[in-house]
Amino acid sequence: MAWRDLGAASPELVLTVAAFVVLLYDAWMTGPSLESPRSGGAGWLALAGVALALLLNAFPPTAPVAFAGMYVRDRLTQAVTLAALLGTGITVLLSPAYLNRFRLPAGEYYALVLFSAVGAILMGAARNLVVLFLGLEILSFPLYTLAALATRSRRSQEAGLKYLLLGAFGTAFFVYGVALVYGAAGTLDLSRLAGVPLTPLLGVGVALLTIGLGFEAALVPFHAWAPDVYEGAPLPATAFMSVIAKVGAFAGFLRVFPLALPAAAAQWSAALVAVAVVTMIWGNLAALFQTNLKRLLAYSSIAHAGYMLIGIAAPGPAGTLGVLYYLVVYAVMNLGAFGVLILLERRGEEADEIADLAGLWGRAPWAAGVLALCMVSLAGLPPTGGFIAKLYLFRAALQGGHTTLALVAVLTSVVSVYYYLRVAAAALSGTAPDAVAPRRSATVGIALALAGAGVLWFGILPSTLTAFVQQAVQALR
Amino acid sequence: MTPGPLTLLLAIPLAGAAAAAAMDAREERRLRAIGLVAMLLTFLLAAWVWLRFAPGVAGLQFEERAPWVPAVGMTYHLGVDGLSVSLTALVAFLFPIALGASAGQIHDRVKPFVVTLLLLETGLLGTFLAQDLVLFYVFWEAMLVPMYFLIALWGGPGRMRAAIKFFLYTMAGSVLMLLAIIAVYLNAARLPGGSTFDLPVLLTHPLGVTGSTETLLFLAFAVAFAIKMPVWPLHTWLPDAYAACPPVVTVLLAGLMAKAGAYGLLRFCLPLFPDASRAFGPLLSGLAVVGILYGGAIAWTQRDMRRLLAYGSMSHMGFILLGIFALDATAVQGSLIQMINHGISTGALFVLAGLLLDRTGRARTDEYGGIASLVPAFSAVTLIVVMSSLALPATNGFIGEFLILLGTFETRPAAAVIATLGVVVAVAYLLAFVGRVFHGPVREDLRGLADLTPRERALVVPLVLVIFWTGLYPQPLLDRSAATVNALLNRVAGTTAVQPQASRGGPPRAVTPGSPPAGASPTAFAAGQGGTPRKGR
Repeated sequence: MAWRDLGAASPELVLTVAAFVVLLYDAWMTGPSLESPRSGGAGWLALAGVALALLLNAFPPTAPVAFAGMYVRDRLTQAVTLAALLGTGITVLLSPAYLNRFRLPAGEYYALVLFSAVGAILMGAARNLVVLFLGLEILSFPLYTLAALATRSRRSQEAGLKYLLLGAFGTAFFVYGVALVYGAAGTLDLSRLAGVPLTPLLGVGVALLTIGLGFEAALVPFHAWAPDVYEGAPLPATAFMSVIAKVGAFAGFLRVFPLALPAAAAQWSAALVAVAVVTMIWGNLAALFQTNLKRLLAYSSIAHAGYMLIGIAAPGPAGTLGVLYYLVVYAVMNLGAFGVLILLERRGEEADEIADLAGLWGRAPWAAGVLALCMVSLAGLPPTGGFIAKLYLFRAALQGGHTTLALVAVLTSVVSVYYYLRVAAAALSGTAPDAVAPRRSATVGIALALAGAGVLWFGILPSTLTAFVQQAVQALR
Repeated sequence: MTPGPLTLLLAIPLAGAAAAAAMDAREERRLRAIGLVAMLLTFLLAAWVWLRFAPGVAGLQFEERAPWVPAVGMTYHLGVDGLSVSLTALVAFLFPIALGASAGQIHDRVKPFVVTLLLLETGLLGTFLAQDLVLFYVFWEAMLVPMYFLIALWGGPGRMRAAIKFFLYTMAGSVLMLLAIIAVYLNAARLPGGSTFDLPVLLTHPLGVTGSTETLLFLAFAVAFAIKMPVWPLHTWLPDAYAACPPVVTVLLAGLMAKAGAYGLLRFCLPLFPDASRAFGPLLSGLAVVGILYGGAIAWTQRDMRRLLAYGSMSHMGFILLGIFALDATAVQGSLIQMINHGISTGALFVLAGLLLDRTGRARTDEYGGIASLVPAFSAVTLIVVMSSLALPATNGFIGEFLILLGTFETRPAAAVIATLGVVVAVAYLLAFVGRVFHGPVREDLRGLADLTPRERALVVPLVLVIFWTGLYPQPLLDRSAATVNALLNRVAGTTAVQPQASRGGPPRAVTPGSPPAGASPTAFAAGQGGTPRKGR
């Protein structure tokens, strides 16, 4: 290991160091009282770490391949890092008000968030199946803990346990897949898998890898944990996991499928198309019937995983471009939607029913506006980033000749409009229930402003981000 | 690139929306004033563009082109030609009237109402100005969102259901069009221009799709536009939406959004898929005739004023569709004129119906009677507008329907003859409406009904003026569209093998992929750059 290797992994290192600093700071401030400090210091430290990592991410390293060829920081890694860091940064801004209100341990919370982000980024940088597995574990273990962070809430405990058990199950599939791939190919190096002939053993191994990643991305039929965990976990944790797990999982998909196994496209494409179709249909149909916003957004996130899988199932540069663009936009719009919920409180609890949104317009017009904007974007309507992202994916599907896939995607998008606009209309009409009160928070306000601006920017002036992810795609060919 | 007048046309309402959004929600008068000022400025600019538009030129004028997402071949390309210049002016004309008419109807949440209205205006204007397929689609879909909220938040009973039905119906059509747009784009990869969404560049070469592919693509586009118009049998969202809307929003829905559908057929379906347009012409003409008669007949049976006008509007849209797919220059000219007329007349009818509803709260025609003697000015204006809808000579409606029927008789005589019955049906339901509401014994409980206030007179007088102006002197409108319509029909007929502008001289020029300079585009009207079009012919 040389210094150069550490330079390549500098964003991950910065985040890791920041996480430890946050933990130490928290321990120092807590002292013997065992009561978490109420100041936002830990949050600001975490934010500084994210900002520094974002800055470092802007500069490509001199030697992209590091750690004996197991790690690579190329343009794709940079794009994945951007999505992960945007998600993490907005989450950190969204959290302080909620953590104070519900007396959650801020130090542990921020440290776990940062560790999890490191895992997602590592998955994007994996050039070796072991590193991919490492990333998956670093990503998901903090998420299990985050789901169970509200120690006084039984719902939160149940969510954490459920997530842990099913997540471990998924990870087991993944690691078994790694073993089979090694048995078939004699290598764990993703860059060398392309030349390996497709034997049944390799096929089974890749299928098991897919199941493991499918758990993380909440693809149907591996999605069953998502609604319960989303509903039970504390709101900021739900918001964060909805984004970071997708970033990590799809980074993994990109590293394994279009990049490592392009030659065997015909074999795995059909299976992925089937999974994508089922996921889009099931996620959107189930979301139609939800009255709880966290569950609704859970099914919505399942549906979005289905859309992103289009970019994997329709291989080629267009698909990869679509997935990367979608990840960034998804991080911003989904966190914007969750951010508005974080502002609401119903008698000392989370206000997470659609009915709780009624009359929000009169009390917090800007928050209602951002919510409506994010819903429009999630539905994939112009002039928002969600539309451009879907446009790129549909283009990839049609270019790959997957007309059925594109048809299912657009028709389920129409279905999704029904529930997204119901939420938006609820926030913009009616009279506010007495029990629900919108809280004021400067950091949440900043986060919402960022999310709203991002959604519009990626929708109206998409060329900057497109050019950025385009570079990532071209560098791989 | 310095922004030209068309960009400004989009920017003014957008800036108005931003200004209104930044204001205190309690200052309702000032909010309305800001909205009105933005809309009037937009109208002045649109009128200026309309006046400066050089008649007799087929290609685009006031063109603006800038890279938008070069990596994917999306361009920011705006322009007006004979198809769109008058419609753009119509949009800018009707919005201030709608806002003015809303004063009596919209009392709560004035600020979001003004903002939403201005966003809708931006979307509509963009739909008529965009020359890039994705840019068009962005505006096309983006105008749905404000319209959804206008119905869902300010509508009457059943508004939520009507709003979502309207949205899902229209969106189901448009997403298929989105796929077709992408397919056209991917298909263009084989052409010398390379993959692009830029419509004029796409049109410089035959698209090269044939057979069932062309049929499917044509249908994907046509269905999206047909739902918006709406064409029978895709109209079932219409009565609910029109009845649940606040009346001023119906003015926009019927007066303007329906036109966007008809315009789309002319702008995209006909030039992109000439063979399929010819092949489907008879079928669509048949649907148009059915729509004319069906809409008229249902309107006759309606007792709810707004449903009556909604079905009547649908019947009149049938004439426009008939004219388009007659594929005859006279008929298409008539359709374009009729789009303007329909916007003015139907818009005026809904404005008047809204004024009546504000006063009495009664939607059913049989709850009225004999109000002509109570509100003479209101009755006179209504009668004029009804006459215009009936296509009485000297009003605008006559010119449009006459040209449509004349042109259609050339190519599809049977359809023209049956459609003429539609004119008779219109007389039946509209005069029945006038008879029930304005004549007969005076109902005692309507004794205190107030006539038009000065503010309301200011709203309806411009509409009446346009009705007579178009009716008596339609030449400026016809001049502006003639050249473009001829070029379009030549293209559909296949008489110019490669491009509609071949008659202007010069062989078809290959366009370099990615960055076609505006001046090098065969469709670019060079003298129109920077807003200094050639005058005269």
